[in-house]
Amino acid sequence: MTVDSIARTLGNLSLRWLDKNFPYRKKAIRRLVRESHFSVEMAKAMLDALFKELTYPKLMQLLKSEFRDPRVLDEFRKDPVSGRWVRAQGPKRITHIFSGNVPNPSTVSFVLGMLVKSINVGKVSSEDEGFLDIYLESLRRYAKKLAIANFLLKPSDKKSTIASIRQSDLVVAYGNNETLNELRKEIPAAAHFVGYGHRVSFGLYTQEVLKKKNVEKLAEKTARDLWMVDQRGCLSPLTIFLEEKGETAPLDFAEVLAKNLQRFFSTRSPAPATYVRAVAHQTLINQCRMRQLKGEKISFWRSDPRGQWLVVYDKRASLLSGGNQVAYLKPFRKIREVLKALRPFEKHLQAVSLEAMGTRRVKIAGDLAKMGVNRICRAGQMQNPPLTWHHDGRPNLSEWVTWTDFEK
Amino acid sequence: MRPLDTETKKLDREILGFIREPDNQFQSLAFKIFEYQFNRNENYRKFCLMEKRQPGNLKSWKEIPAMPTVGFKELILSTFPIRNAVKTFKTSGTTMPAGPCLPVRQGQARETRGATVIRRGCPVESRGVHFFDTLKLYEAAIVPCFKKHLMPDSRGFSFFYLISSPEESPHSSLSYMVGVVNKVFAKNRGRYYVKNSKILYAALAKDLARCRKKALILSTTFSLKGFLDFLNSNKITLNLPKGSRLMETGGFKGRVKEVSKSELYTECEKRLGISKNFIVSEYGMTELSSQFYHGASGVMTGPPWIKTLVMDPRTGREAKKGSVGILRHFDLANRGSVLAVQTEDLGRLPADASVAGVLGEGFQLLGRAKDAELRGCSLSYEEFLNS
Repeated sequence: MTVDSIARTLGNLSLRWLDKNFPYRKKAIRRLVRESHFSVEMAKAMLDALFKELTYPKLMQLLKSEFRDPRVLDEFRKDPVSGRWVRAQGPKRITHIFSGNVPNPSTVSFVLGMLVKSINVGKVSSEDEGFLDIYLESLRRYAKKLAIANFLLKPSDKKSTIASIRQSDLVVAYGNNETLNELRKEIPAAAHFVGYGHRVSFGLYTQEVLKKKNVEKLAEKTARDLWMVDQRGCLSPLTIFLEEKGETAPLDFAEVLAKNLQRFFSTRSPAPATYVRAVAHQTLINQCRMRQLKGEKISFWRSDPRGQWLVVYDKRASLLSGGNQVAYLKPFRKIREVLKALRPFEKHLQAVSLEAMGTRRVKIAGDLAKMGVNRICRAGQMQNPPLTWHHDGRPNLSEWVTWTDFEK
Repeated sequence: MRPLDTETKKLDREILGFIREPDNQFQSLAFKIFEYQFNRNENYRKFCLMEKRQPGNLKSWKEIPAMPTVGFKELILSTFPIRNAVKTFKTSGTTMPAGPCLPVRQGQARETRGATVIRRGCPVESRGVHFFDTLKLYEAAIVPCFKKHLMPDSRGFSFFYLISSPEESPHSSLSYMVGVVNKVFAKNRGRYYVKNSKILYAALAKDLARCRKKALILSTTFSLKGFLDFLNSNKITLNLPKGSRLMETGGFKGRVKEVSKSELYTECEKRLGISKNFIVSEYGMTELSSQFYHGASGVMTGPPWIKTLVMDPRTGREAKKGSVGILRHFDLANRGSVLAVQTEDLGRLPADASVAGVLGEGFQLLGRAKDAELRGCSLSYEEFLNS
């Protein structure tokens, strides 16, 4: 199959997945709710965000951005710059290892593997399998030719995973550092390893966007970023840095955000509030109260019912204070304070929702890029990364292939 | 030691009277202690005012504001100037409040009790402190409960402690309690098998093997597991004299791979010859003055001067019978600090009313809530520390 027909077939399947009556979609939603503890609406939003990026035009856009001429995957093509004839070859076999409970990357990873015409072997997390198997089921139904090159291992089958790794020329793995380090040891010397570790994202809003007329909208977008994958993803903001001296003080923004979260969560179902999460929130609230008693300026807003979300306004918050549906809002005066707070986490920075105006936004973006942030987006878009995004700061497909240069 | 003032002495006499002969005056005594603490414990008063509660406007003891255990770490909670303290007990462990700070590795586990809290944020070495201006109430609360649960029928025990002595761990409330037991019940003849933070397994095994009298072993759950592992790996089986008893306390606190209570007790039966009916689990906290015991009945029960509510963290109200919640204790013996303490321990009132009815008050202890159970690929603090 040509790369164009592969992209077309996959794109068509994505359109089916975007149809709310598609049976496989319904099945995936049930799985995400029952096994991964997302709410129905979160699951829907996640699937929409995923398959909107996997349509034919988006896939072609990715191929063009990575290869300029995607047909290098089919035949020798003349490179217009050097005049050479080149051809790109995907790995014969890719082993994909997935972990954690954010399921979208597994489907993307397999789609990329299919675009470069590889055999794909996947192992999902035994604790949370996601819905990759359902996606492959739909592929078998609607694109049999593509489906035959994709295999899933039993999540608990370590032996087969190792055996597959040994036969692969590319291993793509998601997981914490410990998992990645262990896997690295198993990779054959000639094979290529791409590891995606755990990372942290945040928000940064400057004074000029904290205008009274903007604040409601900005708070709603922030609520969306926090809600969408239940604040579990590496693209979920844990802390929002807010510049002082704008029309709206950071403390006032916190209150507006709390109001918006309450509305957002009550109109779109949140993840089921477990008592464990409620206890975790209560513990943080207790700590806040003690600090209030000591005279510290710290405030919090909790959800009704409890345990769905918590907003904490805290000058002393660290980048990793949030999570588990707790958003920390940290006021600052100078950008360098933010950069200082980010410094210990430089190696782990992922995305930032940067809301600032004009050239100042560009200037701050430059500072953040130097620190290793690999995606700078708008508030409300954190959970909608384009397929062309340099995931973890690296090329997606061009890193996976090998080239043959043909001197005619 | 500074003498106590008249009001304190009078209140202590009343509390001691209740401990010796409990009557139905729990609520009125609780209100008196609450008022005393409201007037004298400045940080608690501020907390109560924050909660909009004060003496005179409460309908039930259940409304007395409960201080979270983290308060013992962050604030001084004392009804007297702390320079007058005759004793301070400290909790173990590390806490991670939100705030900027440089990472500190998790502190060494110590043999004290109470909240080992691991939360996101940054870890700060911080231990809760409980101050005492007298230990009269504390000691009075220990003796009858211990006797009831560990020595209900007989005397004539030899005492073995897999816990460090009060001299070695002066700030451990557990060691202090063992010291009281040793004085009152063992005529100071019990032996300690934790020395310089080392557990003397071989010596204990040897002494137990030679023991002709009934043995009474007091141990932390952690040390007990270590001892059983020692016996296992050395293939030692001790058949302790009939009637020997064991008290274990503290749980595992995540230090080793946890085993279930029933597995642990089965091993005790096999290696020590102490049957399940003779093993009692104790639950105490540095922040409290009284203890709970869990015997064959299946629930933790406390003495009449301590009452416990199970609070539903989702509503902030009492949990329904049978549902999980966080435990809130009201301990009348806690006169010098705060009588109402909000823990982070999970528990449940038995769903079966008849069980609860027979036993009066009691709860099932379910341990600590696991933090952040839903975490995907977002970086956690623990992982950052290990990176």
